[in-house]
Amino acid sequence: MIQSAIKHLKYYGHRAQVELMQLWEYRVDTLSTNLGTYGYTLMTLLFIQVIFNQTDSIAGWTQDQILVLFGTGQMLFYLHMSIFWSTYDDITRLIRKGELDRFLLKPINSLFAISTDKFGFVELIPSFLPTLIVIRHGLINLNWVFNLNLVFYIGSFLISLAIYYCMYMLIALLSFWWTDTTEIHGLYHRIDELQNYPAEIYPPIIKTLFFLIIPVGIVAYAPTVFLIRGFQLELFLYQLLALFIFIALTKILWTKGLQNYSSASS
Amino acid sequence: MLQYPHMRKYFQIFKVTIQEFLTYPNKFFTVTFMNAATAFVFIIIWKAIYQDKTSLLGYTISSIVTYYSVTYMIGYLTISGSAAKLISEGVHQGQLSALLIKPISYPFFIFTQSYAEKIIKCLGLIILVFLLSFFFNSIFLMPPLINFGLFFISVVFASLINFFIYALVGCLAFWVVKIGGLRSILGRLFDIMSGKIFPLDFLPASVLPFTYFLPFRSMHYLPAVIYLNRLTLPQSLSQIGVQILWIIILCFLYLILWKKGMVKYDSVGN
Repeated sequence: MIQSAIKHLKYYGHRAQVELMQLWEYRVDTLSTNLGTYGYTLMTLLFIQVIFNQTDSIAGWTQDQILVLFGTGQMLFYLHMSIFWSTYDDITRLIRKGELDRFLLKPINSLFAISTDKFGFVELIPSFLPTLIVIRHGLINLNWVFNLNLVFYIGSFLISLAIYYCMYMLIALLSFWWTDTTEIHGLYHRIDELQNYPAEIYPPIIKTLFFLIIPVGIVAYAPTVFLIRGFQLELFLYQLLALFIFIALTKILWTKGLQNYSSASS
Repeated sequence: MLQYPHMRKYFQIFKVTIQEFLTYPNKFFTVTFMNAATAFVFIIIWKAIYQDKTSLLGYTISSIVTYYSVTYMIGYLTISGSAAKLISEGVHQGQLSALLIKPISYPFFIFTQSYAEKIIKCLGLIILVFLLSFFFNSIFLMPPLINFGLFFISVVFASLINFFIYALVGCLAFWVVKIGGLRSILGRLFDIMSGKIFPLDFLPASVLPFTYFLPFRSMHYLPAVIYLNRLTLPQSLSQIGVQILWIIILCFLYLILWKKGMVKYDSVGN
């Protein structure tokens, strides 16, 4: 068991090294991509500042609470991006070219094999740093102290990560029927912005829509509420329900998609 | 106009680009909804802020909703990110060499392709206007006729400024291998400094003066405030004059950078 873990760690260590070399080769692009990432964070922080220059709270949320919400949403986004982003491109390409076979023949769950094929370790570090600073800043101003809520936060965060993965994977799996899903990913990426703001600001119909049908409203909201306001059973059940629905949908679409798939070699 | 053979070939490029775009209607509709979704998010946030307020810095909720609707329509018609992408891809994937030996002007070829995309996006704009007016019908403001005319002119100029800025970024591909990151930085700078995220009047007083020395405020903020009748006629005309000045400067820079780039250019894949 330990030997296997060391082997995997070594493997991922080498992968990170190769990734670092690739990034260094295109260092101007790497640097500017990271600056672009910081630019988005700064832009949203400026927008939040502009809003709170005009008001003390939005739908009962103070500036610091919104900062924690925004930081959580960003951390979720970057973690998801670094682990799975290339997966969606790869899966779309492999389906389109009929080259999915090398994953289907592996003696493990093929969807798991594709999803964990590539990681963006190095890209994760610079993206993570500003979001951690934002969360820390918000929590300090809220006089937050370590308590059990942190456990609920981490648990809820991991569930949200799984929901996030299912949403993007569902879109990628549409490639079994559609030629190109890039634009739909782009659309969902835009809708992602909704997670930066509290669910209370949305009209009831939109809130339900973004909690259950496209659960973008719940992913950052639920962990943040657990962290700063304590555990709420109803919210947790909403999150679990969304998770089960989307895992089931992903499995169904994967199975149906494979029935529709034709390999280039057959 | 089409009697001139050199114009006819650009008309063909224009036609082919539109046909290519229409080949993928799902892409067209997704881009339309993408724009509407972002505008929708900002409007909902501002509506929450205005729950216990009637006016902020002279903006009522109606003018804020109209501001966002208008800026997103402007963004829809003016964004020229494809110009940067086309130039950089042309340089790195070798298509540029094939085009350089053809009897066409490459900068004008990019210009034609970029504008063909904008024209077809006008169709999306109709859908966007329909969606926004459906959701926010009661608070969507209409401008006086004269402002509408000035607004139209300033949008055309904003579109040219946008094109030249992105074309300049595209030209950097002659020196830098990948320009995706630079485009990303520029996109963020645009969002803040052009007034796309919020009206520039809301910027801190220490930052606001900087926007006067950059071309970005002419791209979203200016046409939107002209539409909202927040400027007097002389102010609007002088600001349109500033737009013309920026177009001349950027066009000049683009031509210089293009010439320098051509000296530096190594053909790839040929």
